Order: sequence, then C-alpha cells, then structure tokens
Amino acid sequence: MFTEGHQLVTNLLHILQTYKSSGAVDRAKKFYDKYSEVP
Amino acid sequence: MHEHSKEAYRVMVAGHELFGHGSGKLIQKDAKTGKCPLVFEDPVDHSKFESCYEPSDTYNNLFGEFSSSYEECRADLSGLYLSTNPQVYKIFDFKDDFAKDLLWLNTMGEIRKGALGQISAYNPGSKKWKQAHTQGAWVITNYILQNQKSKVLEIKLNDK
Repeated sequence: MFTEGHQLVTNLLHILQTYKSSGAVDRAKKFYDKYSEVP
Repeated sequence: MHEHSKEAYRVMVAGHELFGHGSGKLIQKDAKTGKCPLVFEDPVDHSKFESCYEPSDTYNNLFGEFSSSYEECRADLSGLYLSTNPQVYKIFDFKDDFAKDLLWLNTMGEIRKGALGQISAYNPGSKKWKQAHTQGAWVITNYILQNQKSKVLEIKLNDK
C-alpha cells in the first residue's frame, strides 16, 4: 500500500489536476466516465 | 489500528478541505495574445495539447454535471497524498512510524465509501453512484483496481 498504492494515488491526482487546470473537459470526461462506472 | 481511525481521518479531512478544495490553479487564456499560455502533456496517453479557460469560463460551468464528483475525488486524493507527508501528519501529533498506517487507514475508509456506498445513492440507469463523494471514492477504488501491478486491493462481487 505504501509504495504502489501511494504511487497510484499520486498518478490519479496528477491526471485529475492536469485536466482541471487546463480546462480539458473532453479528456477529463472520457477518463472520468471510464472509472466512475460501477460494474 | 482501529483505535486511531478517527484521528487518521482528521488528517485526511484537513488535506481534503484545506489543500484539496483550496488549491488548483486554472490556466486562463492570455488577454494580450488571445492564446493559451501553456502546452500540456496528457498524463494518460502522453500526447501534447493546448487548452485553457476562456475569461467567461468557470470550472463548474465548463465541467458541468460531473464537476462536483470530479472535485471531491481530486480533494480526497489530495487528502490521501498529504496524509503521508511528515509536515502534515506531525501537526496532528502522529509520529513517523505511523505514516504507513495513516495511508492504509484512510485508503480503506475511501474504499469502504466507494465500494459499498449506499444503495439509495446508486443509479442503475447510468451504473454510477449519484452522490458526489461516493462516486469520487469509487473512482479512486476503481483506478487502483484497474492499474495495480500487485494485489494492493481485491474486491469480490457476489461471491464470484
């Protein structure tokens, strides 16, 4: 958890922050829709 | 472990509210040149792209219906990330030897929220959690599930 889990948290934060700061709403929606669907 | 879960959550909430919601610069179009000032690299596919906010744009009107959940997810990630930072957890009197437990406790709380949620907050039509915090927590859980190399996390549905 402390190594891989922390890196995954860091990566996801980086992705969301990049899309939010840049206003890249189409990229953000495509990414977020993929992970927000509950199987 | 359980006896510290409330205190651990306080570290997470502080990071969530103060830094998560309180940070995040929005890049605006340059008023003089009329161009976006930066070229970004997409962290997912590594393509280069130019994008920025128009003067009339706000985050909420641009991101629309998924803006609340997206923002809660980003703030939760800030809380998780910062809860392992010594300068943060020492404010709450946690010692260095508890840093790994802080991340574990707070991540498990996040996964419980995202994976179990509340049935009344589920939309079977869209197959999504309707509540912004729950949906954001599920995105974190699902991202870990789909991108982990080792078994950081394992969830079994319906005894499958």
